[in-house]
Amino acid sequence: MINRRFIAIFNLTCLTGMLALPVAAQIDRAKQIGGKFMCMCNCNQVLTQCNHVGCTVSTAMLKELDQRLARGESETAITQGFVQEFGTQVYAEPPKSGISLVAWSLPSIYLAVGTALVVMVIWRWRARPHLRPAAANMPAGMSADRLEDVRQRVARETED
Amino acid sequence: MESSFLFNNLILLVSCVAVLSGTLFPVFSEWLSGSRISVGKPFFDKVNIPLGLILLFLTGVGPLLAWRKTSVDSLKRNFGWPLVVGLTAGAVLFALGLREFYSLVCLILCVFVTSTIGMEFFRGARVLKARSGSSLMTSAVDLTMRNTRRYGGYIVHMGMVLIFVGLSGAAFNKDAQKEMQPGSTMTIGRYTLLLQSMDTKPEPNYTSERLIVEVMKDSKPLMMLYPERRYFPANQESGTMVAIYSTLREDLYVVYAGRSPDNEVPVIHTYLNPLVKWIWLGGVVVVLGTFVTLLPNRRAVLALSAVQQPASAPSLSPSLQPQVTLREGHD
Repeated sequence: MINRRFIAIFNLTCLTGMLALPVAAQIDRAKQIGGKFMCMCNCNQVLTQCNHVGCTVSTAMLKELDQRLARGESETAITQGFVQEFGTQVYAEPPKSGISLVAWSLPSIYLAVGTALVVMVIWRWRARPHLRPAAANMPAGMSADRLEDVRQRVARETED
Repeated sequence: MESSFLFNNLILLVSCVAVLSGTLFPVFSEWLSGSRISVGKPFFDKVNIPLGLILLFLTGVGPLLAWRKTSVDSLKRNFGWPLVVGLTAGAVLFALGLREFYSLVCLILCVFVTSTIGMEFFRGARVLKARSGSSLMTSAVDLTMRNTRRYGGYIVHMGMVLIFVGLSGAAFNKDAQKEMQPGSTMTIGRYTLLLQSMDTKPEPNYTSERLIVEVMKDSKPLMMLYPERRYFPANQESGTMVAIYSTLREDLYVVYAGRSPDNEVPVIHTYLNPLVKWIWLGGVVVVLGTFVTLLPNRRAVLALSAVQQPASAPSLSPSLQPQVTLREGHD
């Protein structure tokens, strides 16, 4: 009797789990895809983060997203559908194609050009000959070699 | 050393220009293609988070590279242990279940930078302690006061580390919204919110509608919160007064968002944002560090006071004359 009850509970748990998993996965997917769209109520917030009470626009958009996911549409098809309906302003981030690639590539270009400039400046610094101290600035009664020795000693003793 | 300064400025500049171009991109896209492409928070997050992490890394590395004499040996000596400590902390956090890539990297870097700064204070204080025989803490304070710009700068860096720790918590923000009748509850994280009742209070220039919410943590009563919604009849506008419960671990915000248009039931929106207080704490430490950097070095003060001694004052015997000179500290 106990075994039968145990098996029944086990089966019920497994069945509930199997049914709950796709639902949870769909919610996660809706959150992930919804995070790529803006709410079109002019609040300038991401669709999944619009916090206006009674915002009919975000409610309708989220509902449509859920319906499309339930129909098994791909992310590309959903995105195309939203863009057709609301225009390119629906993107929360520019798509990685066409003219929008410029927006994505600019930071890398800035970084590459800036790094090249910095490397060039450092290279020029390194290529510059070390300046010897001018005779006028030398302490009285100290030879250039002696001054160099002192410099090296100071460098050693202040290494940390 | 010099290159780390340049890279530091480069990263700040790139971040600044990237934000500028992202902000202006919708205008340019409309001008070039006729359709306006919006650029929102996800774009700026993707661009600026890696740059911020590079900056955090340089915060730890830059100040400890010796000016014009950095060698592989000095790199090993200065960064060996902090690197080990940082990676160990990362392994522990990963084992504890932290899987958010950027948060994990951020916290590893925070531990790394804290270790480098801590070691720098420790090394200097240990030398002073050996000379003066005073405690390590007194020696650390003395060390800071001898070179306020250098060690004040480290305090500012420590403040930045605290700010980054706070920012790393943003990956774990949660929020929930629910229509709630009095007596109903909602749960977010470890907290359960029970809407006990609501009242209305007329004030001279607004009318306040207030919710009385009991907060329970792990099913134990914790405190009462009173989120409010104020209606100002003069300009026909309303505003929300957010109720906040703030700890070092997390902030709980309870917002009375209004009444549902369908059934007039109060709607509560709650946010649970981890580590927010660390950002404020970091800001305070940055200000404190800035004040320290503005203080004159202790030696300079002694030298100046010696110079400003009035001529008529009785002179000390040669053995008691202060043997100090006005010198700029190493930065």
